[in-house]
Amino acid sequence: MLQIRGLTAAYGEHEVLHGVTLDVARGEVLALAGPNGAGKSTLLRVVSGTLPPRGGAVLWAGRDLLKMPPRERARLAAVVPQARRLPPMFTVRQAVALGRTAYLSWLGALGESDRAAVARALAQTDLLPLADRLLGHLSGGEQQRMLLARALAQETPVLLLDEPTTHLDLRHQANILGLVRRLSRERRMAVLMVMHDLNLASRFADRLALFAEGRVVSVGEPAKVLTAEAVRRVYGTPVEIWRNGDGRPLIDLVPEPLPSARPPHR
Amino acid sequence: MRSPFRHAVVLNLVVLAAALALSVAVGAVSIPPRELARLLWAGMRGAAAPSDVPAFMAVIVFKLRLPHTALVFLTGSALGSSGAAYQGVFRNPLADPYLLGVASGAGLGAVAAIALQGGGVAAGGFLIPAAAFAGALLTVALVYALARVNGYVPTHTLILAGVAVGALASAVTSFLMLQSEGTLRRAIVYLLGGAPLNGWKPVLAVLPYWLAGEAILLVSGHPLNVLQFGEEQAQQLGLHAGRAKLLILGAASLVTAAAVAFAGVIGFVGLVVPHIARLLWGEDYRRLLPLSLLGGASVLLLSDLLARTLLAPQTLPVGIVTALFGAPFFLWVLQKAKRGRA
Repeated sequence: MLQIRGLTAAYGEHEVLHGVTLDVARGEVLALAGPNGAGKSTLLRVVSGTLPPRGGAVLWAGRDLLKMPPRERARLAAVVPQARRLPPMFTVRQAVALGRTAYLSWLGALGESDRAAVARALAQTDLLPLADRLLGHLSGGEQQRMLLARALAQETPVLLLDEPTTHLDLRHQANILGLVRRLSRERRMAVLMVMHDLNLASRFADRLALFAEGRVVSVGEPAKVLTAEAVRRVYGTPVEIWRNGDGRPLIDLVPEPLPSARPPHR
Repeated sequence: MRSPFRHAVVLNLVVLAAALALSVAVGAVSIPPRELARLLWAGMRGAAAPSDVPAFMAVIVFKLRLPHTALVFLTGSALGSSGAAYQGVFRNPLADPYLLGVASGAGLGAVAAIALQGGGVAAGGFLIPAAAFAGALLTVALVYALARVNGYVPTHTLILAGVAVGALASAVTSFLMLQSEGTLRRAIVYLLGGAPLNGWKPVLAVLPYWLAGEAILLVSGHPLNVLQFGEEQAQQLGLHAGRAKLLILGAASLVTAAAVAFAGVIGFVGLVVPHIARLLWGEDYRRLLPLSLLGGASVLLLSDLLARTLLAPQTLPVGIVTALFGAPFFLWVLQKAKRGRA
């Protein structure tokens, strides 16, 4: 189990995380949701070792990820960043193979097991037909899948994703999230995923953590966490919540009433 | 995937061999191929020069042409490979030792060493590359710190910082040269990128730096590949990004210093060669580095050949020749980039 314990973090003087505690079990997808600036991405940056924390720990099997050198940490936790500014002249296979860096020497020569891990990651993300394509020639959805494949090639028990569906259309959203959900079961990975879309989060995550102002406001099954009251409080905007046949919540924005359509009296 | 790389290496080796042979054979006195081959063969076996080859030819080949060619080879290969490495670390295809100001910084180091020592170049033979290395390292650190914006280095700040720091280094260099005219006359000549000192001494002085730097650069292709995804992702993939950058920049500055110490500041080779190699053979730095090394050597050898023969018997500074070819190429690349195919 991934155990985030009392994590605090700051940019300069400005503290943005105030003691965040969360658990993610193996085989479970936990979605992190909350308004812009709530600290979701900061949490991900700290957990992945990019931003040094001010206090707290991230434990896996009793060891603190944040106290490890990058090489050791990269064998436990893999990150799927947002697809931005990828180097265009690498092939998909070359890029996915870089997921093996934590197991390779400075020279980077791939061994038998490395090749097998790369092939498995490519196959699980349906990228084998695109393996020799250049990154610059991929669509946004394909680039996102390549980044997922690269993280899978790291063969880690923990997977961290930063808004994996931004800029993707419906089909690619379903494709990526379905894949993450399936792989979390197949590979028994603890998945922590920052999500903007509450409906997608409640559809694809096992549990949901609602985040506001650097704190976890509530965490649990999406159906329990996403009440109209909680969402309104956290996001500061009124919503209606509809229940699906299976009790799954569907969030609907309530627009402010428009000023009366009649022309004003003179 | 493998065989195009093999072809590229073979092609580069063939061109390099031709450039080396031409560089030794052609000059104020031409050495005919037959005589040249026999002299070199004898030299390689450690035997005396064949008696039917005129003695002056042996002197020209072994005392002048061979050391000169060796120095140009070291310089060109250093510029090509360090250009590729700088471009990789800065994630910017316009980085090169010249535009970054690193070459000027190394030049300042070299001239400062000569000026402080006063005794002239001969006495300081082995000190000059060390001072050039210090100058190169200081410059690259300064330019990097100035050009960095939010952990990434945009082209405009990089070029601006490089040009500014390079100009400053050049100004200080000029000042030093004016201060102590006598001993530094020769420095002026080589800072223009031409007429390196004769004999094997400079080659031997530069060789350790070249060897150490290239040994590191040639095995750093994989970390450079990882760094192409940015420092954050590199770290998340398990690379100690800060350390890797430091090591690679250090090695690139080492070979830049080796190049500048006796050959002067030569522009555009480090820019053009990796660029062409990337267009032809892709971005994989494990291939790009050795190909840029070989290509840089060939390009500088041929430029040097032109510099020696275009206005013979006068010798042009080779930096003028590389700029004549390199600057239009640079503009062509920019033009192509504007049309959306970079």
